[in-house]
Amino acid sequence: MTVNGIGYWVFAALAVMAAVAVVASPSLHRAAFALAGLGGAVGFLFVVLGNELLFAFEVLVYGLAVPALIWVALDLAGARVRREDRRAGDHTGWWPFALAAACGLGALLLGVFAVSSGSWTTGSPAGDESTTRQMGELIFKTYALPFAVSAVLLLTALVGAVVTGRRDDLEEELEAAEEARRRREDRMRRRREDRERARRAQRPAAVGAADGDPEVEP
Amino acid sequence: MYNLAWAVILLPLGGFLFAFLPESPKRAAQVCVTFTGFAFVVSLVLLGYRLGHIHANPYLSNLTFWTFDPGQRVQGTFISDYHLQIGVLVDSLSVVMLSVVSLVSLLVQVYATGFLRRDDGYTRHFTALALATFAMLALVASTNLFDLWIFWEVLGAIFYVLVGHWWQRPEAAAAARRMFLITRIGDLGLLGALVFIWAKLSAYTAALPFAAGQPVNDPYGWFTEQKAWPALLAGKVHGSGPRTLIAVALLVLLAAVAKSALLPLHTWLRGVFEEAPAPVTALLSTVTLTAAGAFLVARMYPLFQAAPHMLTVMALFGAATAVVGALVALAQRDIARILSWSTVSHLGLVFVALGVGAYSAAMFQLIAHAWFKAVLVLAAASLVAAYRTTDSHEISGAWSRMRTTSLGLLAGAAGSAGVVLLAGFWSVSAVTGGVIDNGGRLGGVPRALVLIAVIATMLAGAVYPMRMFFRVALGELPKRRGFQPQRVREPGGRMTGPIAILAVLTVVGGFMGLPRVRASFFNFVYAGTAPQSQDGLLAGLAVTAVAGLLGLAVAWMLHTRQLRAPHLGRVGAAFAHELRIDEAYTWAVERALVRTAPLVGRVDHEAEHRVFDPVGGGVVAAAEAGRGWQIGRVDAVTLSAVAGVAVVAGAVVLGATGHLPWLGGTR
Amino acid sequence: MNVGVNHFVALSGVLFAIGGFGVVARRNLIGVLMSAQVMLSAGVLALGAFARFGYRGTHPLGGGAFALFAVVSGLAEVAVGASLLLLLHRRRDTLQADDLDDLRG
Repeated sequence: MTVNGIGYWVFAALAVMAAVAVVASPSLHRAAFALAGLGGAVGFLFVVLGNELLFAFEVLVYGLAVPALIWVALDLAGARVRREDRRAGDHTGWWPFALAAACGLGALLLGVFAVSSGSWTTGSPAGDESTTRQMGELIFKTYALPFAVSAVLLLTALVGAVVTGRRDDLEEELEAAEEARRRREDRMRRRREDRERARRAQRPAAVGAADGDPEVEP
Repeated sequence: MYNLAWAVILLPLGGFLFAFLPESPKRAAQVCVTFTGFAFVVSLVLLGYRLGHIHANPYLSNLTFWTFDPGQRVQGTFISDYHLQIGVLVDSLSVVMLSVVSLVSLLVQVYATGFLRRDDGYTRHFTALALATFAMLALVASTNLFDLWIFWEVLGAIFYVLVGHWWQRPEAAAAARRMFLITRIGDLGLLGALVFIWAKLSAYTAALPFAAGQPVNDPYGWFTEQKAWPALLAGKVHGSGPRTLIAVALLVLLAAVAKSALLPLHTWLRGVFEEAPAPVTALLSTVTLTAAGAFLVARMYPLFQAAPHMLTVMALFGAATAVVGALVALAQRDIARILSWSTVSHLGLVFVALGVGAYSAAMFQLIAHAWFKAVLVLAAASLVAAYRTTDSHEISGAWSRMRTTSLGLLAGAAGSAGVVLLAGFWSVSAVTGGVIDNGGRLGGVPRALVLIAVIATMLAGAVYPMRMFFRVALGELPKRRGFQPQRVREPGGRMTGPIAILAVLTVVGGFMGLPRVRASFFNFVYAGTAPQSQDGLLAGLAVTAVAGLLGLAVAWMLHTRQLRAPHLGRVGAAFAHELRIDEAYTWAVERALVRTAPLVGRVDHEAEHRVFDPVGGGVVAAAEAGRGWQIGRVDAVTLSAVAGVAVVAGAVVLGATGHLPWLGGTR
Repeated sequence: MNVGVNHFVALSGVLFAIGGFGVVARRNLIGVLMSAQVMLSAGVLALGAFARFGYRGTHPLGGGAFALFAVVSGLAEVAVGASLLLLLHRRRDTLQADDLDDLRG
């Protein structure tokens, strides 16, 4: 069984480049963009494999939803890298060890597959009918329970995200204090500007008004 | 239908668990009482059903958690079958005991709601009572010796908690400790018996055909043992003989002696009566702890029937206990002590009956004792609470102010004394009848000794309860300094209700011992395959009636000073001090400890210095050295996790593919 | 030119290793989250490949269903992970792994 080779090599190269960009890029925004690219590349690899439903899912989730979430998080949390770290990139000090560990893990996986793939059972490959239809039958008939459970999982994740996003009383107080301070400063600044304007407007005809308008102070 | 027995056992346990839910102690107590009440109702249903099928086979139901059944020889020793289970056995004895235990527990708990009204440990008391009820019910319904032992231990632990309810008092803590330690001796005996049985009988019982309701044949099942003991006597079991029987029987008897407070292991019971709350005492001394010892012997009766001379030994122990108990009680003036020695004496009678072969009479005595002792304890506790003293010479005039409690006290005292037609009368006469009739099993001299002891017990036992009642109830209120007469009034319905119910039971409960009636107790609970003959019962009735009336007359005359109590000098003083047995034990233990304690201290100190300190120091040094590696940063943790996974997975994979021969593999 | 399952598995392994490197070596925790998603993508790719090439249990394309549920789980993981990281940022004002050393022994 084989699939089209050109599609594989093109998108495989794209995927690897995107993954390296995700992992090694000093700017987190660019890394999120690269993650979207990875999602697209893997999605197209699914097209090469003939599974359109997975393509749609992959592109929607990893190409759009996940990067969007990450972007929002980056904006809220501030992805400003400290200046002293910028030259060092976004990596920790012991990245050689990490490289070694990752290579070891990768070699392990490939080695396991190479050694044992001969004894894995194979059935007949997917038939000629549309894979989307087959996938649909699998999701909604055979694996209906996991489907429902994933829906509950997403709901739980949603609720969890909302709950962790709440601010507790202390944070509310701090925010309220910040807000009040900012408003007070704005008000005082505006009043100062108004007084300045009034003084400048009154200076040409200053002689007559010995006691000018009393400044109303709240 | 018989599966209702599961409900009877588990309802008090449910009460224990659910009692933790409510916030207010009052509600928790109500939960416990309700569950126990339900258990009692169900047990009555079960009793009624069983009464309709008197001679049916016993019913076994087991819930097995784990089975281990090699049933074969492993390296020379025989590993028998074993299964970890909990089960219910419904036969006549267990169904009667289930009803009695649940009823007394229910009444005692209702009494406790009033008695401990403003106590700090209210909830704790009730949850422990519920758990104790569960343990006793499960013990009574247990299907084999191992289960019984488990619940035996649970019972001992729970009663340690209950007896030490007011543990802030050092005397109470000491009493609880004494109870636990002395009954522990008995527990060791039971454990030894279990080990012995396993070692000697495993191979034999594993080869027997399966008994009904038992998934595997382990040597602890009642019905397996029933077959095993006679076979052992007949020499069919490899490596054991009559001496094994005697050894096992002695160990079981040790357990029963300690738990049922027979001489010489009786000293803990007085502490319980003096220091434990009255509901606990009532429960403990009637249907739970002390009854457990007698119940154990009843269940192991085939063992005692097979072992030579063991029944005689038991009868002699029981007789000595009964007569000493009655005589010492005669010499006491403190109500708590009178009651405790009365309990000892009546339990001795139970064992006398068991020893002479009058199984039904023994169980009947146990149950009748439950009625009148419970009412005595509860009524006495109400009196003590009202008069603020336990000295019977300082209490008087209760009849006029606390009528219901005094009536209860009267019923209990008269029942204990064996006054005609009350429960105690029927039961003690059954015991006496058993001695007269079946005493033929004993030899000549033991039989005569036991008979004399029983009659002496009856005579003395008729005097002291009635004397106590007359002194306490009749007359006028005391006029000593500081006494407040307005405190002496009837307590609330929650405390007088159980007393009244138990008093009624004392009066009518004896009628189930009527001879030759179809639903009589003797037709219902018996050892072996047929009810025993009751030929000696009429003679027993006559003797008991005479002794009871005689004792009543003597007590009345003592009270009205027509008779003067004789001064017995030093003998009397010895009995008043309970023969100083407890003090002897304390002295002996202290001497032993004084000898060995310094040596133990030295060993402890040396071991600590030479062994434990260096080891501990080494561990601490290693930990300090390792601390430097733990910088705790998130990325460090992640790195070590990933690297660790890689290493371990690599080792597993290499090992599985055979590249690491010392790790094992499939290739 | 035709490729078989081995190629896809090799690609999956390479992507997994790259993602693993990122998880360990990235300093900002949001970067760690993204690298974890790379690893998950690699796994999903392998599952899809196995499904296509006939390595299956009882159902044809069973691996595809597995892959789909894995994608959904990954999405839930990112959602909760991002919100947790935001909470952490609010409390500690940092998301750098250097500053988070509470487990110091």
